[in-house]
Amino acid sequence: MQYLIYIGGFFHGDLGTTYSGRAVSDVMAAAFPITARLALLALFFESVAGILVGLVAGLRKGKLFDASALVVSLLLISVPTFVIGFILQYVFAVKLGWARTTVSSEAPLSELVLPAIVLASVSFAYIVRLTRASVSENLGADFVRTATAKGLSRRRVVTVHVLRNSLVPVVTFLGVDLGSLMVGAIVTEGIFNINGVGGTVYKAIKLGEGPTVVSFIAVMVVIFVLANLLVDLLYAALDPRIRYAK
Amino acid sequence: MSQTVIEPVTTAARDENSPLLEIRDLEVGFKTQHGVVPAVRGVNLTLYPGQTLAIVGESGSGKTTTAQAIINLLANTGKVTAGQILFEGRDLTTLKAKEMQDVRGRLIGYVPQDPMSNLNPVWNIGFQVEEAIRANGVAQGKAAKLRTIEVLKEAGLSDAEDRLKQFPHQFSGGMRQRVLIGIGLSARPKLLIADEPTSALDVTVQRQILDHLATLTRDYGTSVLFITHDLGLAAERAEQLVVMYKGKVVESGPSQEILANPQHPYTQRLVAAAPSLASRRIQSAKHSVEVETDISAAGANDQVLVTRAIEREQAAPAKDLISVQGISKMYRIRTKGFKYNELLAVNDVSFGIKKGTTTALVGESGSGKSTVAKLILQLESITSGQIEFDGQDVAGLKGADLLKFRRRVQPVFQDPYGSLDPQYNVGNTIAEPLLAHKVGTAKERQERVRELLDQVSLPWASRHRYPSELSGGQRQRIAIARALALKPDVLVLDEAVSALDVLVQGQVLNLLTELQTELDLTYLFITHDLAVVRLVADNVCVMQQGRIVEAATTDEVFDNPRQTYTQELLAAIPGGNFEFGR
Amino acid sequence: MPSNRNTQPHFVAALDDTPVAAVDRLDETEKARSTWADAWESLRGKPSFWISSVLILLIVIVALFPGIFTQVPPDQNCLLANSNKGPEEGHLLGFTRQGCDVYSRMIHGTQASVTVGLLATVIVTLFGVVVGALAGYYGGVFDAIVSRIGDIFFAVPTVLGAIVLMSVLPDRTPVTIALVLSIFAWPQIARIMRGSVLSARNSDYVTASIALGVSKFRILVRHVVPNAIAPVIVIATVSLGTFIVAEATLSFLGIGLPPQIMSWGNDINSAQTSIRTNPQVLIYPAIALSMTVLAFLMLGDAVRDALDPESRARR
Repeated sequence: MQYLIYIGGFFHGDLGTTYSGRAVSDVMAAAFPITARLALLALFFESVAGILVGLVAGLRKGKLFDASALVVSLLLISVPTFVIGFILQYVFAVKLGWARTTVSSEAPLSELVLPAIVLASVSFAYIVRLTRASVSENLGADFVRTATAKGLSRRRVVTVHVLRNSLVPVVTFLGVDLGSLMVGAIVTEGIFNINGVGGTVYKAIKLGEGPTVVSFIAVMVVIFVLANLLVDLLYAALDPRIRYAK
Repeated sequence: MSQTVIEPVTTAARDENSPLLEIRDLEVGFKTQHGVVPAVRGVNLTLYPGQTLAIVGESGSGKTTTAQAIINLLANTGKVTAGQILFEGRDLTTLKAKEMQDVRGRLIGYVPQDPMSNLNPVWNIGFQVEEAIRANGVAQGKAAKLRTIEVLKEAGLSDAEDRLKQFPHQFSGGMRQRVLIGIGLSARPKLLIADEPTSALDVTVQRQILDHLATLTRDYGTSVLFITHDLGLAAERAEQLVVMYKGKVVESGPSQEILANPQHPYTQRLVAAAPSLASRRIQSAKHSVEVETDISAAGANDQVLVTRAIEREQAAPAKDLISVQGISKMYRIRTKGFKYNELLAVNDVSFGIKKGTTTALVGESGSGKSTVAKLILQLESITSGQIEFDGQDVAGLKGADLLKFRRRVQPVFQDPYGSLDPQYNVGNTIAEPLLAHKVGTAKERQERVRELLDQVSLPWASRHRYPSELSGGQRQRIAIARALALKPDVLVLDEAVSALDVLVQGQVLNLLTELQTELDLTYLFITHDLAVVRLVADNVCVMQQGRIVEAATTDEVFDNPRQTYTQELLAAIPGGNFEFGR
Repeated sequence: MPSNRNTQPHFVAALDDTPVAAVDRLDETEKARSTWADAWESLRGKPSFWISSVLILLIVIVALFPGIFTQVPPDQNCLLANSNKGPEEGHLLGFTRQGCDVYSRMIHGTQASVTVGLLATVIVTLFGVVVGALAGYYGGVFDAIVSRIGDIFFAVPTVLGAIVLMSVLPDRTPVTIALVLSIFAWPQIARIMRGSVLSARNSDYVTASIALGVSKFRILVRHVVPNAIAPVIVIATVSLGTFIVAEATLSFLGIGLPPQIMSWGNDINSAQTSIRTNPQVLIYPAIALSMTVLAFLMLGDAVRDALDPESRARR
């Protein structure tokens, strides 16, 4: 019954209060920008590096670079985010002292680099694999052969025809992947003690604050759904066949 | 229009009588798991300036590989292993990547086979033409845009300005092929390689496009290297012919000479099997009970009894086995939200088929011919009209009655690769209708499978095979055996031979004719290929946009077509009236 | 018009050069192979398949019979005196903060982790395949309802949904975790199966079977499902790995398995506090976890390559 009352409140913008007495919406307002910054940084890392590595691997299928990219991506997917987080924290912050083990409360961009890399690692591996498969498939496409026959340079064929077409599935993946990025944010912000949305959820889980967990995750799901609508639009922009089918 | 004139790139002035392209002992191999597999084995050919040469061969003959080797479009695994490709005296096989890039488009243009997959779906048409123009230094900046419009107009797109921003999927197949031809010729190359440029298109569209291509290349003095599987088309469009078989040239020389007087056994068979308007209906030679294991491939061997058909026509009962009266089929296509567009796929179609005869339903894509097949097979319901089979209305048959109907009317579909379940071996595939209709014991069913395999000339051992291990023709024979399993009265053959190579097509048509006489079968033969119709049909219905526009006996339709549309169709058959030496 | 000199002579190849034997004759020398046999053939030649299979076999044996691999009890006789001590005789990987044997805990933690992964995969696959196949094949109202319900659960990322449910559920066992993960994960398999069934349903061989008079249900069971199942097998293999990660993540957050059940996730969780002084406490269960996930990923990749119709056609 309490839950029903809570859900009713949720739709009216009332997210309840945390155990410490602050309104959930206030905590959210403070935490959201930090997480947004972290997530955008991670998205940037994973897509730029992922597409680049995937492209080169796809172009050199079967060669050494490709084989190593495949092995590394498999390993990255196999190791859970929280393990990667601890390892990088231990190596770069504890041993080498290049980064801070915990991020200060303002969470400036420079301190978020290491957590963003941790957060991006698994998705990076997926993007590498996806781009690679897509590039190698497009390389064999008829229209790529025709583009070559036109007398275009190799560089132009690869960028304008192969890479451009390979981006379509990658963008679709980014939408779905936002879900795992959110889970990753909970773990990563927990490890690096970041006061973002994820960090708050992490603490709430550890402290057993059920309602706080539920309201924060509810907001995350809403963002996830909205982001996927956005990805659908982006998808249509990238693929004219979708654009005109509607 | 000064910007459109392109200076020849070569410095040495070469005279008309030295060859433009000379291929010497070319060998191409593909790397696979089992080592290098040769695809082209010692090919020689010579093409002079202004000439048109056609390479003819069936799938797997190495004709496309030869063409792609010229400007090195081979897949990564393919490599020229020996020989030379001399273009204006320069060996193209030794060129560096950058040099080859200059040859492509500028000196040698390329028109690919399938218009559906050869344009990049994510870029608009204008972009894809313009990039070819820029890359070959034909024009830059604003001039390139103007030139793009010009190229498309020359290729036959009169409203080019308005369509520049449109995407490939908004163009019909014929329009896309025009775009591809425009791209291939945009830099006024000296040689154009056209790889089956019209195979995917309807005959009337094919004719328009080939005529247009011929005009353009004549105007520009471009030499053309045609790749085709269609002997008629080659004969009609090329002065020189090169016939390839299993990676080798078996015969080459002037087209007329080769067709009139083929020397090599393979060419002879090819010429004999090529259906044309000049050929006659295949007659069952003599239905020996044991069919020979190797069916002769002499497809249109006309020397045999013409009388059989006449006899049969006289003997046939007056009543139609299948009678179709005024059937229509309306599809509702959802467009936006809850709005529907209505499409009348079949519009008031009537015809009848007498027992033991073949009626052909001919039309181009979208004519509604396949829909008629589905309606007769009770795979879709008719919107209005009536279909009678053996005096009984079949619309709305259910349960046991429907099963009984299915038992007597069996289908053979177009795509031999799609109509057999890849997970089922041949024996199970053929036995499936027996099982579904609960015919006989396991042992009797097996006996029947043996008998059927025999009827379609496949060895008993083939029952363990899976479709992926069989050729197109073998699969189609399996499909026919499956259709015959229940001893039906009628076979509905929906483009049953369209996907097959000429020789195999001849074989299957022969088989169908044999079976018809032997088992007194009635055929409804659905096809887009008028030349094939002449070989097998007694009666013809020509369909256009859902209607039957002409219906008569085969001879009447071919000798004396009444409708303009039928005349156009007949005129569009490549090499239709060519004299084949037989 | 080309001049006379350009006309080429009529060339005819020597006969024995190019045999025109029987057109379209069946090559009876080759062995007959089904698509599955074909896939097996291709799998057999892949080192990654053998490596992952051996690993998985090993993991299963460890999960079933931990006693074979260690006699040291994992959670009794833990002496605080041994807290965070390094490796020594009989205790190859050292001790945890509580003074328990790291190696023994790693071996005994296998069971819970693998059980959750396996159970969740079985539930999701069975449910997803049945629902997806029926929805795709019969369409209509059932399809509409199932697809909408699936959309709702699909909108919640699996682990996020599991965090919510696990943080309110009183009872946390391997079975509940597997069930909770399945609730949010089944739509993925159902969607794939539905799409796969739809394309198989529209194939020519199904139309042919209808026209031949084969019953609708028989077509579903004998033709559609066998041809549609391949992508599901691949996804199921890979998702076994991801479920194990999900369980570990939940345990790491403290809402997975309760502390008294040994699992890799729990061990990593309790290792957090001592990571700076004693990293191996975290490293070893993490390696065990990662190797397991890796094995299933590799197997999934190998199976995907073997079942891919395109790579098959290329041979």
